Amino acid sequence: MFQNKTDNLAVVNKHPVKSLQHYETMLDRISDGLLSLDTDLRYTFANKRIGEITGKDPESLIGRYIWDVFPEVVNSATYHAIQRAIAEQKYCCITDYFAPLDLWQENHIYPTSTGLSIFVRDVSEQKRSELELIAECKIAEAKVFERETSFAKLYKNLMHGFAYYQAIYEGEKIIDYRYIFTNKVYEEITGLANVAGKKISEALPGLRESDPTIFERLDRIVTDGKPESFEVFVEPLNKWFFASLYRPQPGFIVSLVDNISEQKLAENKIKQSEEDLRTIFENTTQGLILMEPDGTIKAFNEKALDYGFSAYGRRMQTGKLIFDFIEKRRVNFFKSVISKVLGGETIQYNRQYKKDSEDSVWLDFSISPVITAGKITGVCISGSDITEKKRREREREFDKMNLESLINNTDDLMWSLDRNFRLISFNRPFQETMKSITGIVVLKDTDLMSESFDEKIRHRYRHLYERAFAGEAFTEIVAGEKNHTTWAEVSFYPIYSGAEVIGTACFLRDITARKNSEAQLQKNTHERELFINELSQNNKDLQQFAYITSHNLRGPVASLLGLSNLLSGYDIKDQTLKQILASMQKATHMFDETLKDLNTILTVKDHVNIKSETLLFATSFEKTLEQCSALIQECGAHITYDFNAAPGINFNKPYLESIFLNLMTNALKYKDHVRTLVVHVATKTVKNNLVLTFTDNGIGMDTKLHKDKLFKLYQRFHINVEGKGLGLFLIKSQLETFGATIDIRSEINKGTSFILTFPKIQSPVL
Amino acid sequence: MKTENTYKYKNVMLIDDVELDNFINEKLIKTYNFSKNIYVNTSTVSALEFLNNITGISGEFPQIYPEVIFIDINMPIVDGFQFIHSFRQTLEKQTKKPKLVILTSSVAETDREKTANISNEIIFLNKPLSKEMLDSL
Repeated sequence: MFQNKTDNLAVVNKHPVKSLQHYETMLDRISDGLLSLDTDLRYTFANKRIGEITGKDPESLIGRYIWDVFPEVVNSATYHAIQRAIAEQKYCCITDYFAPLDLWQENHIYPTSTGLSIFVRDVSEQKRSELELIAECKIAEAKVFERETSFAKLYKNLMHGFAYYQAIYEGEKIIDYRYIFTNKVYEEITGLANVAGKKISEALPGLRESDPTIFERLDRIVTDGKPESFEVFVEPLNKWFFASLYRPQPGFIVSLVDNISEQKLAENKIKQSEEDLRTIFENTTQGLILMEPDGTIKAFNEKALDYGFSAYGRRMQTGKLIFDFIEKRRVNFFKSVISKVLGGETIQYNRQYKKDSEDSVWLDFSISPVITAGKITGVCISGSDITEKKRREREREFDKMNLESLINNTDDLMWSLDRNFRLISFNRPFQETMKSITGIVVLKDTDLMSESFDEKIRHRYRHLYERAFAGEAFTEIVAGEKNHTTWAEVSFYPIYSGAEVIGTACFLRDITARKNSEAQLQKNTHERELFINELSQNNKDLQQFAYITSHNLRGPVASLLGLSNLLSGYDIKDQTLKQILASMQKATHMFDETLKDLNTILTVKDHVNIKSETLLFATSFEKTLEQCSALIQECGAHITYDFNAAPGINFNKPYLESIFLNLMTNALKYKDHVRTLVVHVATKTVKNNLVLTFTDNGIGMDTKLHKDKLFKLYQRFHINVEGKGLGLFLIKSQLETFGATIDIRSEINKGTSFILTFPKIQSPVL
Repeated sequence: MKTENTYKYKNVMLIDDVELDNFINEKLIKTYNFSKNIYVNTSTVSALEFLNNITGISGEFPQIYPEVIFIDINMPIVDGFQFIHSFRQTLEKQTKKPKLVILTSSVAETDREKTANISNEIIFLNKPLSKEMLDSL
């Protein structure tokens, strides 16, 4: 009958007699009412407490049908709970109000094998205080509502949710909270309806797991009684709330909540965009510094730090005044800038900073006000490194200046004009020239066809400009404006805009000097040509003369000589006739020799066909000695030579032989009658020249008297010696053909030295 | 007159437009028995004509052809050089070669060079002709 898992009651039934009373006494003493029913719902037991609760004698109830005893309970919550417990054979608990007795009961219904056991707890006290609290809460709610209404104007969209919880204890420990009351707004904002009486863990399953801090917070408030306001994300609802919690009495919590999910979302968005901005702030190539109106640094990015270093060499810090990080001498300037910015201006300037041991850095600053809600709330400094840009700018500026100075400092005139003949641009020389010609200072837009300019010039240039306007690029040489002694080369280049000629660029260069020099050159060339022709003619005449001499004059002389040759075959007896014929023969020979000499000179002068070859002085000189051997032997002359220092020369062979022969015959002719003739010939190299000296100890001469005439044709200086005065002239002529020279040193009765100087280039390497 | 055996050459020819020179040279050649016969021509044209005429018969009578020809340079119409050129082109090939001697009063080097350039077989002599010159030929 009894199952071993059943409770004490079953044990009571199993051992009825002896122990029953003992149990009954025990059961009578527990604070809860206890009754048991059989399967027919008849009372089998009721303790004393039941009697106290119901006001009926427990003894009288035994055997009676429950609904007969308490017909008013039928169809109440308790009635249904009992029915359900029987039907489902499950434990059931129900809190119910028992109106006839004005009782709040908490009924614990246990199905048993013999029927039901019911513990009845009187919770009226508890329930009443709850209800009082609810009433209190209602008042509070009303007050809140009142407050809300009064603040409604300010916070139209703000609604408070209201919830009232009771802490559920297990011993000293709070295990959960029960909803006692919620208002409509709470229901609306949380989406939780009819949660009164439910535990939080039931209404919001998973809340504890998702955020244990919420319960910790509730526990704290309940324990300490200290109100708290906080934002909380309730994961089961996926919503953000702002909650204000306080403890109206121990074990209870009032919660005022606002749904702040949207604000939160917006806030997150703001946060996100703030972060984005931060990223931009940090990663921009510009250095940014935000500061308060008083100059306190609020924020700056890494780049600003870079520039901070570049500019001031000190590391910036937030919360400090910007003025601490700039050069002292610039503080006042900077303050004035800031004050302007605070006045609403944006100030831009750039500045060069010297970096240690590096090139200077150019920073471009833009200092602008930070405007929040129409008010200036701060100052933003943005700086960027424009060193490279600045450098390029300077280069451009330099180029431009260079170009400008080039354009203005040239002697060329440059100008351009539009199709209405109005000046577009011009350089200084153009302006100056125009002023000097016309007296007018031309300016941009000056009409070059204006009547104030000379009509002739206008007419000429109009024609040229129009050619350029027609698309022709050309260069003209024009005579000067003042007179025709100056010349200019003027170039015209059409200026195109697309396919259309919109003007012309003109360049004028004074070419007078060139023209003059050209003319001079032409004149010079012409003169030179004339001179050359004349010279050639002279030369031809000379050649002709040489020809005449050698043929026409020589012919008769040769005939005379031939005749005298014939005479030598006859024996002439008459001594006088014989003498006359001999003199004639002698005169004819002299005539012939003179002719031959003259011919030689003319041949030398007409040196077109004179060849040179490498010659050894010794060879030529020895030949001369051989030719003169008879005369040398006759006078017993002592002749020495030394050509070792410079043995050879590039020269014409017959000339060299002729020179030696002439020098030798001179020496023999003008020897001293007493002294034995001594001749010494030698060569040496002096600087880049080859020098040949021919020295004798002859009669000498006064070179001071004769030097200028010495080497001229038919000059004779000795009356007691035969000579035609040709030798030295011939030597000089022959030497000059090869760029060589001859000089003389002589003293009367001492001797004579001839110094022949040949340019070294004539001397072969031997 | 001296005996035939003593003549150096049988026939020589003188071509010179100057009759005085021809006279002098003829006398000198005869004086020194240089040649038995002397053909004297006062122009190159007549000389060429003569030579042309005797070329035909010289095969039968080789003894009449001149062995030495003295030629002046400066002559009218055909000068000495032109004569030599014509002679060498035509007649010389058909006959035995006579000695060609330029005998001129010109002392110009150019004339001597020009002669040398034609052929080194041609002898260049300056007037007046002398015994020494004749001996060298």
